[in-house]
Amino acid sequence: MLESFFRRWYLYLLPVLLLGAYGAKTVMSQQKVYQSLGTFNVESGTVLSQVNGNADANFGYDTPASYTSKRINAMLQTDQFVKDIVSKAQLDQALASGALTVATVRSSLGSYPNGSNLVNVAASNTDPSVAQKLADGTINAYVQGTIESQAIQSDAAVAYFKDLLASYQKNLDTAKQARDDFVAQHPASALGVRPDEEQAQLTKLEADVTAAQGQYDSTLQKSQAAELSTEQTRADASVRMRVIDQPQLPLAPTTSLKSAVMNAGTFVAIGMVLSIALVVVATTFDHSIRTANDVSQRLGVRALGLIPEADGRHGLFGRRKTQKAPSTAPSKATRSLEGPVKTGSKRAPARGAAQAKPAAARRAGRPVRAADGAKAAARGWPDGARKIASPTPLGDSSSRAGRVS
Amino acid sequence: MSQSTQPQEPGTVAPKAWGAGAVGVGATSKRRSSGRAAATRPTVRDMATEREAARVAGDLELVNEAGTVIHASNPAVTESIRYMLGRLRLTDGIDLPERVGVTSTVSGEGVSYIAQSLALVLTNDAGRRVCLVDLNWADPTEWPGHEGTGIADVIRGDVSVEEAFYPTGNEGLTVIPAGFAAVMERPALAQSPELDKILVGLSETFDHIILDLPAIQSSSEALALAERSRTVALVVNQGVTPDDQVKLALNELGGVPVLGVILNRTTTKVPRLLRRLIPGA
Repeated sequence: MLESFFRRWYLYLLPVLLLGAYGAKTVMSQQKVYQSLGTFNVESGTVLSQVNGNADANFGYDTPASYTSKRINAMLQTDQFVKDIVSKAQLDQALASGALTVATVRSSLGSYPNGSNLVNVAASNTDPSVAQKLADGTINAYVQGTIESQAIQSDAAVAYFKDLLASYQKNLDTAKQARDDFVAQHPASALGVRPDEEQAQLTKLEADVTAAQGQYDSTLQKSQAAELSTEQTRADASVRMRVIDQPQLPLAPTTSLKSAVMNAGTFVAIGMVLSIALVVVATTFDHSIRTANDVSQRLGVRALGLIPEADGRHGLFGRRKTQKAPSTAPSKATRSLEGPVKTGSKRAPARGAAQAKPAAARRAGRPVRAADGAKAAARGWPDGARKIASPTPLGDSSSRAGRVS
Repeated sequence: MSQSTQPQEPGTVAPKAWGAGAVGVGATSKRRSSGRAAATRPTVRDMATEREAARVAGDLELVNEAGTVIHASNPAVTESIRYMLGRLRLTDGIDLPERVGVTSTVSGEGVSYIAQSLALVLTNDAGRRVCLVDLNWADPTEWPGHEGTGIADVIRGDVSVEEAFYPTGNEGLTVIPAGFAAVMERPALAQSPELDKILVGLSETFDHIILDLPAIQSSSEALALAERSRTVALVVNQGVTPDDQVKLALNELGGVPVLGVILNRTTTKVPRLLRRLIPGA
């Protein structure tokens, strides 16, 4: 795989370079973002709830902070909650004008736990005041929303008993009126004695009044209990969630060098993943024989030896030791070390050696004649023949030469 | 290069046929054979100095009787071949067979170069008597000063083996050029019993016979010639020839014992520092 990479390293590094450049461009063009942070405390139980014997808030297996932050993040996915935030932040006009959208508000807000009871609410915006308002609005919207949702049942009970009380009051008044009317129509004698029939009727009317009064008093008691419960719930919820740090107006943007590097680094990392994938694919689809292991494992025969190529280029930054033009002084560099320098028709082809035979002759598949050499010379090949490789010192490739592992 | 107008001295320059304008009779003569240098002839001093420089550099050169360098193996290549032969003997416990054919999957993988370098190393290092036989009629190596007779003529019975020898300036190394064989004639020559007889005869004179064979997938007579070789070494161009083609060639070789694969033109682009840090990189 390393060999595959280094053979075309420039190709495999291309995704890294391109994505790195894109990342750098993105970071450079990024606007300054301001972040406002607010913190509030969430308790699972309060003294009030203990005194009243109310159950503590149920957070499941989560800590109060973790539960609350998850809930805020979940609620941010609803349009209604986002609109509530905007309303609390007094940014309705911006929302109406389109300067602010539900999606941007949603993406700029976030909540995360800070310990077991503290919840941080962060709001980011290019305008520091908007960031502060959004953070403040989020905390308010959540706290108010929680209180309202918890008190809603008590409120419903209060409303129910209120309606019932009105009805019972009417019944009581009717019963009292019937009794008073009967007494007025049938005044008692001077001795205060009534006939048995009248007395029985009056007793019945008195019983009706007593029953209506009892019904009314009972309902009134319940209504008062419901009202008390509502107040307790509100008070309890208020105590459970208490703002510790009000969101402040951010003075400096949050776009730091670290985050810029991180952003650019993300693109570079993606590029590296792509590069690695390319190398893996290239290696997978390369069915050529490269190593002695390939010979023994894929062909099932012995690898006799590895004959090195002597074009003089080694490694990533290897220097090509090919002589461009023959010198006038005799030199060892004048001999081909790539392969046999033969008289024409059959030369080990490819790379430097292939140039030993002028192209026309090679295409024709005939032996190279003197005329071919003259043509080659006319084309500017050194000495009418080919580029001549210099000898490769016993170093780089020769250190591996013939070594069969 | 001197702009010499001195008269040509026998045995110092390439034969006339390979003179000005010819494409290399080896690096030395090739350098001198440009169109520009049509009137310039290398001096004895030039050639001697260059050859001395080559020797200092560690090159192994195949020269003809006239002293013209026909083939040069650079130190890295010769070291590799030496290592290959040593490893074959010490690790695998076998010596290089007496008759070895060097072939490849497709043409252009450097078979002739390897065959000539192998022959040079064997003669130079071990003092073996080596005969290099060019059996690639489709793309024969041309030898300067040679009149065209070759193994093809010997098989036909037109000339004797000795008459087909191309004399070299390397002690112990003899070359038999391919000679001319028409396309229709080549399969018959390859399967001719005469070829086997010639090779057996050569075995009595030489320690090693290196056969320069055509590529398996580019010549119909390659398999028959490989069979005559008794043992073949397959040259594979590193990073070029696909493994499925090489496998196909190995399958086609069938019953011919394959000595192994020689990876040619190996190179690495991995920086040296990284190779040191990561073993096997």
